Amino acid sequence: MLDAILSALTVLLSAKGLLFVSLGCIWGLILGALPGVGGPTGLILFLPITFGMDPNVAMLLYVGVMGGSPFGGSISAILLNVPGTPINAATCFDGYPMARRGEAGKALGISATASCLGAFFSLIILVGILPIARTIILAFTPPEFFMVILFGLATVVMTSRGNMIKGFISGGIGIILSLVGFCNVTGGVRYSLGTEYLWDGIELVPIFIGVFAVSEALRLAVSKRETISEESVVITKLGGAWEGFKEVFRYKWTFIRGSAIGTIIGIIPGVGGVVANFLSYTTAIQLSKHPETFGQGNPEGVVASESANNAKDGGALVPTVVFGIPGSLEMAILLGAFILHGLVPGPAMLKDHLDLVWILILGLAFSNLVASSLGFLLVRFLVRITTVSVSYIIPTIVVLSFTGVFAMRLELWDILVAAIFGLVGYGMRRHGFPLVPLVIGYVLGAIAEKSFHQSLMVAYGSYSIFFTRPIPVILLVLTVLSLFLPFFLSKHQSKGDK
Amino acid sequence: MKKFKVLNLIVCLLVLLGLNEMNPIPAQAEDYPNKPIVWVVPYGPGGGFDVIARAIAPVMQEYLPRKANIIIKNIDGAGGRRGVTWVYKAKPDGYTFGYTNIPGQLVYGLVNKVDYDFSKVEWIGNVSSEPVAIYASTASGIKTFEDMMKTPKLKFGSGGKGSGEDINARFADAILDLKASVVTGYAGSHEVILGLIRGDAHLIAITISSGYQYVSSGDLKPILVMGGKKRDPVLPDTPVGIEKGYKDLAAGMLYRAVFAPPGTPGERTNILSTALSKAMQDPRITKWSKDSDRQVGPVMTNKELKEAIDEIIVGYSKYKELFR
Amino acid sequence: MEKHSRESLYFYLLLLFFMLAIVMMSFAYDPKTRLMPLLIGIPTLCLIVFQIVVQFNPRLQGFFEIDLFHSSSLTKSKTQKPQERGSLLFHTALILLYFILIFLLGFALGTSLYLCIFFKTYAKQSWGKAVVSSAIAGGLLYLIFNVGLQFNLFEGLLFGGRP
Repeated sequence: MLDAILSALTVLLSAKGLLFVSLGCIWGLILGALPGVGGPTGLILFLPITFGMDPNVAMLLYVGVMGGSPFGGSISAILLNVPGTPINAATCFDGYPMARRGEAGKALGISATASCLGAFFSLIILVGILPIARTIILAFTPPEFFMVILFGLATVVMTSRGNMIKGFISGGIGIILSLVGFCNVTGGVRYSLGTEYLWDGIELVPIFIGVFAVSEALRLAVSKRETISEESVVITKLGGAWEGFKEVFRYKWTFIRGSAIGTIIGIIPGVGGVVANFLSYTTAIQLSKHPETFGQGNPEGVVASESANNAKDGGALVPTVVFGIPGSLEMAILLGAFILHGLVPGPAMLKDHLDLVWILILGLAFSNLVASSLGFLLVRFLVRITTVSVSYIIPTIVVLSFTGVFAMRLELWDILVAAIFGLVGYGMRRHGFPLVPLVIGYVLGAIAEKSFHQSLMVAYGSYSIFFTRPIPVILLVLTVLSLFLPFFLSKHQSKGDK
Repeated sequence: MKKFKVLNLIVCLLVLLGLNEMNPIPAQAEDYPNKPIVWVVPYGPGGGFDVIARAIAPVMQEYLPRKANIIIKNIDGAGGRRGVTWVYKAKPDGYTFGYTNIPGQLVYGLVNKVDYDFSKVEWIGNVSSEPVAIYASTASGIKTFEDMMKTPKLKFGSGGKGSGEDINARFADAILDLKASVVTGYAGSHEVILGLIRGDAHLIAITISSGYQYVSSGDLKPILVMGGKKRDPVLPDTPVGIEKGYKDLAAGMLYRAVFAPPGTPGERTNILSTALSKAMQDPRITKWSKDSDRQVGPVMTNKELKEAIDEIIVGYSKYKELFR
Repeated sequence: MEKHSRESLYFYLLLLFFMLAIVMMSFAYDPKTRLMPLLIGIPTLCLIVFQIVVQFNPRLQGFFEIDLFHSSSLTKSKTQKPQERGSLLFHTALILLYFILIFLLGFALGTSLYLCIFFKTYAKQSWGKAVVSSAIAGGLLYLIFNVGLQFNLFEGLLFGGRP
C-alpha cells in the first residue's frame, strides 16, 4: 500500500504531472463556469487528445478537470444566479443573494474553501471505506434503492421553500418529465408523440439550463435592474474571500454533514451530485434554528451546498474503482479513458493498479486545492462581474446556455427545450413553485420506477421483498414519519402564534 | 443614416457567411481524403464501441493517403439507432462512416420500422466480432451447463429491453427452453453483473470479453458459449452450444461492423477498408487489445462479413417475435 | 381580479392542462407502463385543482397553506416591489427568435443577429456599436468552438446543415 502511495506521489509531483493536473484544473474551472458546458462535456473533449500519452499523466489531466469544474460552476452560481453545472444549483439560493448585497467575494471564499475541504474529506473517507466498499455496495439491491430514493424525494419535497402543496406539484411534474420516452424496464414508450427526439426522453441539461439559466435571464430582463449587485461591492484585500474562509469553520457541523452527505450519495451509482447538494442544503434548513433566513443570503446555505458537491467525487470513485461501475457520468467517461489507455477497470483494479487509484485520489485532492487557490486569487476580478451592466450579462447567459446545451449532444431541439423550460421556470418562480422538487423529481423519478419494477422482477412478482429486508423497512418508516411530522409541527406552530 | 445601417448589416452578413463556408466540394477522386473524416459511434463515450474506435482511429489515419484525420463523433440515443440513421442518411462522399451493432440494430429492424436498410449500405469492415456466452454468478451456485438446465426459476439480468444482453437472453432462453425470466432495466452490462453478484439474477448473456475479467476475480463462471461452431480459445473448458445439440445458438455472435452510407463510391470505401484492416493488424493495436482485454478482429473481407450477417439474419428471424 | 392573481390562474391552468394531457395519454399504455405515471399524475392533478380552489377562496387559504418556513410571505412582498416591468412577451419572443435564427443560419450568424437585435432594442445602443460588438461576439464563438475546440457548431439549415 505504502509503495503505491509513494509511486503515485512521484508521478504527481513531477513537472509533467503538476503541469497536467493544473492544466486540467483550469480547463475544468472555465468550463464549469460556463452554463451547460461543464463537467462531462469538458472531459469528453479531452479523450482524443490524450490517446498515446502516458496513462498516469493522462489520468492527472482528467482528475484535474473533475476537480476544477464544481468550483467553476459555483462561480456563475454566485455571480449570476446561474449554476454552471447542475451540482451547483443550491449554491445559487444563498450565494446569489449574497452577491446582490455586495458580498460576492465572501460567498466565493466560502465556496472555494468548502469545495476544497469537502473533496479532501470525501477522499479520506474513500480510503477508509475501500476495504469494506464491496460489502457496502453489494448491500444495496433494488428494494434498498427504491426506499432510499423515496425517502430522498419525500425529504426534499417536504423542505422545499414555500407552499408545500406547490412543492408536491413541482415534484410530481418533475417525475412525469423523467418518465417521457422509452422505458428501459417496461419496454414501453411514453409521451413521445411519435417523435424520435422524445423517444429518448428529455435530458437533464436542457431542463436544468432552461429552468435555472434561461429563466434567470428572463427575470433579469423583465426586472429592468441595472447591475446584479444592488449595493456597492466590498473590495477588501482578497475581495472578502478571507471572510468566506472563516465562515466555513463557523458552520463546521454543516460542513461535515454536507461532506458526509455528498460522499454517501456519490457512492450510489446514478444519483450523484445533483441530489447531494440539494439534500445537504435542505438538511441544513431543517436543522437550523432560523430556517427563514435561508434563501436570503445565509452563508450557511453556501457552505452546505458546496461541501456536498465536491465530496461526491470521492464517493463516486468507490464503485468505479471497486467494481468498474461508474458512480457518476464523469466516472463513466473516466472508465472509458482507462480502457482507452489499455487499463482494465473492474474488480482487478484495486489489486493490480493500486498506484493508479492513488494517482486519482491525490490528483483529485491537488486539483481541488489548485482550483480553490486560484479562486482566492481571482476573487477581486470575479467580483466585478456583479457590477457589469445587465445588458451584457443577459445575452451572455442566453448565448452560453444555448451553446452549452447544444454542445452536450449536438441535438438542436435541446435548445428549444431549454427555451421552453426557461419560460416554465420563470412562471414557476413568479408564482411560488419551488424549483428544487422539479429537478429532484426529474433526477430520481425514472430511477425510482426502475428500482421498483426491478425489485418485483427479482422477487418473481412478490411485493414482500419491500417488507422483509431490514433496510427498506427502516427507510419506509422514516419516510412516513417525515411526511406526517411537519403537519403536526405546523399546526402546533400556528396554534402557538395565535 | 439608414443606408449606413443596412450596409453595415450586409457587410456583417457577408463576413460571417464567409466564415461559415467551410465545406469545399472535393474536385477529383485523387484528392480524397483532403479533410477530416468522421467516424460516428452510435453510443455514448466510454462504452465498448467507443473505446475501440478511439483506440483504432489514430492508428487508422496513418494508413490513409495524406494521413487524413479521423474524428470520432458520438451520436447517442434510441439504442444506437440515432447514430446509425445519421450515417445512413449522410452524404455518400466518403467523409462519414459509422459503426453498427449486429445483431442489435439488425434484429430491431426485423420487427419494427426503421430508417435504415443494411442490405443497401457499403460495408467497410468488421472491427471486432466475438461469440456471446452465458455466464452465471458464483453466488448462484451454478457451475456447469447441466446445473443450469436443472435449475428452476432462472433469472437472466439484462440492460433494458432491446439491449444486447436482453436480445441474447431471450434468444438463449427460447432455444434452450429454460423458461427463465429476465430482470431488466440495468444501465449497462457492468451494472447487470453487479446485480448478478448481489443476487438479483443468476445469468447474463454477453460477449466473452465483457465478462471475462469477472471470471478471474471469481465473481462469474462461464457456463456456455453460444456463438460459433467450435469451442472458443479464450474459454477452452466451456462447452459451445452446437456441441450440446443447439445449432441455432451458433448465431449468437456480436459484430461491431463499420459501414458507409449507400452510394459511397467504391474507391473511397476501399481506401477506408484497407486502412481499417491494416490498423487492426498494427502491433500497437494488438498490444492494446491484449492489455485492455478488448477483442479486435478478426479481419474479414466484405464478402465474409456479408455472409456472416446473412447467417445472423436467418438465425434470428426464426425468433423475431421475441424482439418486438 | 388583481393582475398577479390573474397571471397565477393562467399559469395554474397551463399546468393543469399539461397534467391532464399526461394522465389521458397514460391510460393508453399497458398496466406496467402506466403504473408510475398514473400513480404520480393523478395525485398531482388533484393537487393542482386543489391549489386553484384554495388560492381563490380566501376562507380556505388560512387553513390549507402549509408553509413550514413562513417564506411565502417574503416572496409576496418581493413581487409587489418593482415599479417598471419589462415585457415578458417581448423577451420570450426574442429568445425563441434566437433559436429560429440558429436553426436557419447556424450558430455564428444566428448569435450575431440575436445580439445585434438585443443590443439595439434592450440596451438601446447605436447601430454601429450594436453591429460591431455582435459581429465580434459571433466571430469569437465560431473561433473558440469550430476552430479552437474542433467542435462543429451547427451551420444552419440554409447552409446545408442537418438538424
